[in-house]
Amino acid sequence: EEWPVDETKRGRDLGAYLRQRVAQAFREGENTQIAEPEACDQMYESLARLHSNYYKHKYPRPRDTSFSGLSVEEYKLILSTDTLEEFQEMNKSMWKKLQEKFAPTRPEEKHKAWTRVLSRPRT
Amino acid sequence: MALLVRVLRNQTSISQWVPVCSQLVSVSPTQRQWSSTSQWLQKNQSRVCLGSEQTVGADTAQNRKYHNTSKLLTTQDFPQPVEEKVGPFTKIIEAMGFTGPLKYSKWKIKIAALRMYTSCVEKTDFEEFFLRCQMPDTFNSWFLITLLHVWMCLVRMKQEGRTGKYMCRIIVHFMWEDVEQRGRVMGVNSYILKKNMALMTNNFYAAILGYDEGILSDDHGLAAALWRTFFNQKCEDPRQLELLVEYVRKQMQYLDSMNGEDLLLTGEVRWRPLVEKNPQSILKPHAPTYNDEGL
Repeated sequence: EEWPVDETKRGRDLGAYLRQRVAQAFREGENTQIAEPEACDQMYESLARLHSNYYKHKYPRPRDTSFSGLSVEEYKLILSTDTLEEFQEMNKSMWKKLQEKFAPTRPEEKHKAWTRVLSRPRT
Repeated sequence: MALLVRVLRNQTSISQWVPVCSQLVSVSPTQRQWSSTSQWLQKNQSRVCLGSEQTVGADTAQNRKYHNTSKLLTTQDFPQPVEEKVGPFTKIIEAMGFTGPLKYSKWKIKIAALRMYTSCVEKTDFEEFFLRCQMPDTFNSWFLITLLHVWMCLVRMKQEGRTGKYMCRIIVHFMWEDVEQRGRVMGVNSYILKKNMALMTNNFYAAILGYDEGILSDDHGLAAALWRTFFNQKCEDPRQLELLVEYVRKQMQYLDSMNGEDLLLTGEVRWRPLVEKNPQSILKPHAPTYNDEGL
């Protein structure tokens, strides 16, 4: 229940999925008959460890680095469901592509510039 | 796909896993490693961390190591990694999309990059992943596992400045060449292969960004990223998710501990096993305070 829901990733968030799974597994509330109590306990302990950041603390890194070099807030923006839907819309419309070329003020441009670096060279 | 992996594995010898304790002892201290450790110490001084369980032997070894670290830090002050100075000419070249002169030959970097990519696809136990994560034995599963390991290498090499960036680009290039070749070997029609390559490219970008967010976030974020990308939102067992989160955390730390210059020149990467009895961190979460007064 304590697992937070990431609003930016509507429709594909692990937190929302977990809530749904728990609600489904315990349909009868406290009176639900658990088929495999031992497995259930193990799953609960797994979730509890993930929730308490057990592994991040156990394996500290000398430097917190990533590959694309953005900040966590920027990742949330780029990977949010709304932004991804915008990308799909942009792909459909050639006219919008032309517009974007002359007004590249959106933060998604950062993502595009980053993508260009990794584009596959033509064989 | 497992058959192809088995064939590849039989052709090359696999180096055996080294136990963590002996690996810890045998690692020779280098300038970059100590520097990284000191950086971590400075960063985490004000943070309260949970203690990790350790065996007696490992505890003794780690205590000794950290005592040495403190001693070294007091006697010599290792400098922080200095940002490489780039002349204006090189800046212009790089702005145009080319690569300026690096501190090592480009061919050396390319060979090391190829060797590093080979470590991702040949030193990884794919069948273990298929079994533990209940993944179907398909080309896409192979791609997801390879992608996870390539991403970890990219994160590590990005720490090595401009030369590391160049190496990242070459690693990705080799990955796509390999994906295309494997598709052809499996007899996929070239038109279908081209369409699927486009899909895989988009999956690649999404995965890179998702994993980057995850590694910088807490275990929530990393678990969510792995669930979305690696398990394709189909993982129903939190134990599998926990296994992957621990694997990524310990693997990234292990890669960070490797010497940067060695990685740039040799590309030799070792992977800790997915399932490990009593896995230990090679860096103590909270450095103990030794009272040397009176000695």
